[in-house]
Amino acid sequence: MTRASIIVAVVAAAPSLAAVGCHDQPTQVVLVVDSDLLVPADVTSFSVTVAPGPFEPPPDAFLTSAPIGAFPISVGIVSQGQTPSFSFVARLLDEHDPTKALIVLSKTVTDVRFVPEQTLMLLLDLPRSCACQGTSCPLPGDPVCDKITRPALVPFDPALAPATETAPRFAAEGSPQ
Amino acid sequence: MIVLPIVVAAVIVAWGQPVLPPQLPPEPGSIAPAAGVERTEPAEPVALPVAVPMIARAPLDVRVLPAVPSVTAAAAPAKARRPLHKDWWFWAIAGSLFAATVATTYAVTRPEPLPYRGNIYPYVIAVP
Repeated sequence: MTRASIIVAVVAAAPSLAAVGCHDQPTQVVLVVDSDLLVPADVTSFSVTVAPGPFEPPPDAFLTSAPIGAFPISVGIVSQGQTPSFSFVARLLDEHDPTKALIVLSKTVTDVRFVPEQTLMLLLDLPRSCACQGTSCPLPGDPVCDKITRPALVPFDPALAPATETAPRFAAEGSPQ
Repeated sequence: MIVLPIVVAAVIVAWGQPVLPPQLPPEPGSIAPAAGVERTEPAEPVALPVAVPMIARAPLDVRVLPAVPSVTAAAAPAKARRPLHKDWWFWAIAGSLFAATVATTYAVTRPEPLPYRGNIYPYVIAVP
């Protein structure tokens, strides 16, 4: 009676104890953008367009910009588990004239890979050398300014990512919370 | 089917037969003369064995004997039932169930880990 009862009780309690650690960690890539461009003299706003999969988002994607306070800036990109990768276009804009937004610098990154239940970080540098001068932008061939495919990700480092508060819930893709 | 009642009746009858004591051999001095031999001297009266069935004879001779302690009662006194809460395994099982309840409650009610929230709009983007 005694030994069998104890074994039964422990076995019954084991799933409950195991369930304590069953919450999945988020699968996420934190995009951290830094630049030597000056705010607000050179750029005033930032926009990002994200698409699931390994291909560049369509150019007619809905574009919403947000004012930049200072660099670095960051956005969390969370996987909902259906696609293993995503692609995005990050832009720095000059919106001194609200009726005429100028793209100062644009960077396309494709096939960014999620790692299940890990938060990784993509450090994206947008140097002044890659900025457009008026309507003249750098030609393809410069590895610093060219499109990046399957970039290297690093473990999330709170010291490198801007301090923020945690999100109470996910925002829909590209839509405000 | 007819045989069964006959067999049962035979068994009952056999079971109910009085048990007779074994026939005692005759004593040397009381040997009965063989048939046809003339008896010359009268012999002393000899008690002939009588077959007495082993049944109680009424009235019964009832005697009051001094009380003898029961061996069974002395050897195995009634064991008092031990309270359940004094057994260590009771508390082991109760503790396990309590721990399981606490762990389950914590696991079910605790919030999920939140994702990192950026410092600029749109802060967090969900990819399908």
